[in-house]
Amino acid sequence: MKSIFPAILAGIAAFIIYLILSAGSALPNDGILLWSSAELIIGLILSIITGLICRKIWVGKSYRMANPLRWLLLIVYIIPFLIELIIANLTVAWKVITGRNIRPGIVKLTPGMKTDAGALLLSASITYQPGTASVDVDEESRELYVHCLDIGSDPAAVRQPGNIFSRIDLVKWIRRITE
Amino acid sequence: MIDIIVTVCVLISLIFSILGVIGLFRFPDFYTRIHAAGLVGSFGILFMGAAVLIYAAGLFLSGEGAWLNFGAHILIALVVTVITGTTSTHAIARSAYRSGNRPDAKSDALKDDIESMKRREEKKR
Repeated sequence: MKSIFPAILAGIAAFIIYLILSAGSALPNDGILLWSSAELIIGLILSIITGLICRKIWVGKSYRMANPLRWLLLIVYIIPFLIELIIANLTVAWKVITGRNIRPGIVKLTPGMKTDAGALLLSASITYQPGTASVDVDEESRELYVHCLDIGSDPAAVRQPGNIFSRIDLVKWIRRITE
Repeated sequence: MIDIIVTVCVLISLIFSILGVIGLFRFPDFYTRIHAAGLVGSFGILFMGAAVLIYAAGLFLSGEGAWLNFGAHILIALVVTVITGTTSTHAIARSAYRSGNRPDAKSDALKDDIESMKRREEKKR
């Protein structure tokens, strides 16, 4: 009985993804909005099966991220993330071309995230930017060990969580989203 | 007009992918090469996806029906590549460090903590 809620959530997620993938399949004389009725029936059956299979894989303990306002903030978060991504890409591309200023090192980061979702989002953001990659995570204190392509002449300066990104303080954004 | 924008996007994607591959050969050790591969994984894929999205917008403007299919599929593909790309990069780096591949770096904060962290995880299991 306890696993009924995760099963429904997984089923709904699978059904939404199926709907996106089969959008535009409506035939001229048969179909509801964008989808033909055959696709809808098959999608419903498949998503029920998916929900039943996934009911034990789901390990979510808190439903804090189920708030739609947080998802909206997560979509807004794409904008500062993309700005950071442009800067990081151009920096690494320039380092590839010139071959200078490559001073690698592993830096310990103590962002002080209170939730697992925050630590996940932060480490994923760090890893997706070229030039920084999170190598390991301390699961209890949520400290990140980040490998940087260029730690600069003063390694202690990078250790502040705000300095891992070049311009915008994404740590503050992530805290606003997940806490 | 749309053809030109699509071509520019594909060209930017190609340039960053080529730079990433060059970086794979130029950079000194394993961990720095991960960053070069990240260049392909981020801008190489994002601009290629943007090119397909703009192409789908062009189909929509000229009134063809396939635009929805194109756009929806590439949006899902972009989200999935972003998630799996970061996960696999982290998994490769983590397993490399734990199997003894040390970076040639000036400062290595993980070297002192890795043993105690491994021991704690063993105990939990």
